[in-house]
Amino acid sequence: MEPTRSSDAGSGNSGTYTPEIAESIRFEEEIQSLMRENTMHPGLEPPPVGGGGSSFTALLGLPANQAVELLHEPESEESPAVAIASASGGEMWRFRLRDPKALTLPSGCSPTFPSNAALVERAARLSVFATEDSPEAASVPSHSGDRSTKPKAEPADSDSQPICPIPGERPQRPAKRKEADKGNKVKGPAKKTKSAEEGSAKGAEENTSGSGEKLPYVHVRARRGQATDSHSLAERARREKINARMKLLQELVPGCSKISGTALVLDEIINHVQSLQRQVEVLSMRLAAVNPRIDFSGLDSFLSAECGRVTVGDGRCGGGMEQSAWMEATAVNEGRRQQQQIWHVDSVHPHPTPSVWERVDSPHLFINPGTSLFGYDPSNSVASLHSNQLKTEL
Amino acid sequence: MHASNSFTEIFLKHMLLGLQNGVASKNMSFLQRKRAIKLTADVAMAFAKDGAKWSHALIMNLSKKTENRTLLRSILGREYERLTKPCLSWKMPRAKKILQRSFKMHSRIKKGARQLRGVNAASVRAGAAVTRTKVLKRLVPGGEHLDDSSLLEETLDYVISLRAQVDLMHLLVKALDVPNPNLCNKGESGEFLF
Repeated sequence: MEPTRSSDAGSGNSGTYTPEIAESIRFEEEIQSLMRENTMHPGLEPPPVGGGGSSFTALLGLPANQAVELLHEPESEESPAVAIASASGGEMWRFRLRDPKALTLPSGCSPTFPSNAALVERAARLSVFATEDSPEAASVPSHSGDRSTKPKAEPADSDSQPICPIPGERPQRPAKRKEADKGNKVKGPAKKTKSAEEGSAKGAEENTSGSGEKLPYVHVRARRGQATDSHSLAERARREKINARMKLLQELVPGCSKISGTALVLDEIINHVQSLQRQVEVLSMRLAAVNPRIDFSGLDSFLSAECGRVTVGDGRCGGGMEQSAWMEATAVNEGRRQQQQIWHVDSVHPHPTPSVWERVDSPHLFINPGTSLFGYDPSNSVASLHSNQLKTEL
Repeated sequence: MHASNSFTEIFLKHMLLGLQNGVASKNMSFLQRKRAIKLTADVAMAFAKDGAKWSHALIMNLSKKTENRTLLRSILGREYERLTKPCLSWKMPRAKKILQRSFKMHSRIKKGARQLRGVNAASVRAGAAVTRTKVLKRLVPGGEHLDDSSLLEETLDYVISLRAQVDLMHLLVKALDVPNPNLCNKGESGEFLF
């Protein structure tokens, strides 16, 4: 895998790096030991490591972006792979942080490194710094725009500390990062980053969603184990938008939060919408039956006036309005048979409010902005008032 | 998330306006009355929530039938003209249409390549979601032309408004219904109607 992957966009410039050797040397030794274990890539055995190692050492001390520059320049197999691994491993480890158990190497590397738990730990620890330092990675954008199949080891996170050497464990890792630059703006804290690894199908999906503010351009980094072409990235962004909205809908529709799976949730949503529409039909029927007896003009003006007052009013206000509404209604009262029919219909129709009637609370606002259940509290008030009214009438 | 106060106020106001004009003191049959009430309720709801796509679509759908137009006009007043003319080739700019079409072609091509694998769980799930999305598009007014994510957004809005509409109409019924003394004695005051 490494040969194919190491062919990167060759837009590097040769080292402008400031090696920080002390840390890097330590890692270099580890790297070399690991490399010796490596059976997959004979090219990375000690002799080339010596050559590659020196550059690697230099790279290790680099801030990540400069490491990238270096990477592209030497077109040899090992060092780009190594360097890519180094530069991006810090990035990779950031995701690994949450799921240390899911540490899986890409398919090519699997025999090599997984056993090295100590390095894994260290990488995990160091990756903490990586996450903290991510805002500093602002100065990257030299590779912006080139998003095609060539993986750009784009160091969006700032491993400015000598942490790059983390990937020492994984010089073979095809840890390629690609930043889906939809624009050239790089702002640290508001970046949404996913890291891409091409070709490998490991399904560990870590998502460092650090999106704080809204940017005109969203920087997304593809997740580990996913393809990195622009189509899939766009698809993934779209899917995430859809999932977010689906979650909102799940909260809204009662009983949907337990259900998992898009189709079932959609089922519930459809049922809910249909039931609401049916309720509107039934209620309009009831209103139609009620209608002829009501003198709407007076009621209309009164209710509108009350609606204006209700927002600043308190419970008594709404209660008062209800009482007046009753007065008006009773004023034009006529036969009652029809209502009995309506109520019979209602008893058949499953209605959520019956249970509410049990509670006789203090009158609430007719339109109460604070209540979560819009109709229920006022319904309570109506019920209580109604019973009061009736008792007085009788 | 629930309907805002101003939404309900506007809703109620327009509903009463419509009821007054369209229904009161007219000799209509029961079904006609019901239809008129439903119409005013829907229009009031759509008008109160003018920021959403479905509201515009709903009003347009309703205004297509000529018998509704007078009522609509009376409720909407000045806004009638603005709301009933379709905006900008039905709300989807040409570029987006082209994008959608190409995206569908692309996914169709991919599916064609994928058919060799036969039926697997993922494709079944995807298919189920697609059919349900189609159903949802039919339910939500104006949903046919929307893509998935905006469809979900409109559904969200629509559900909130529908709920508010149901609650409001329920309140109206309660407020306007004349109490039946046969039904309401001390024992039954708790269970009002049911």
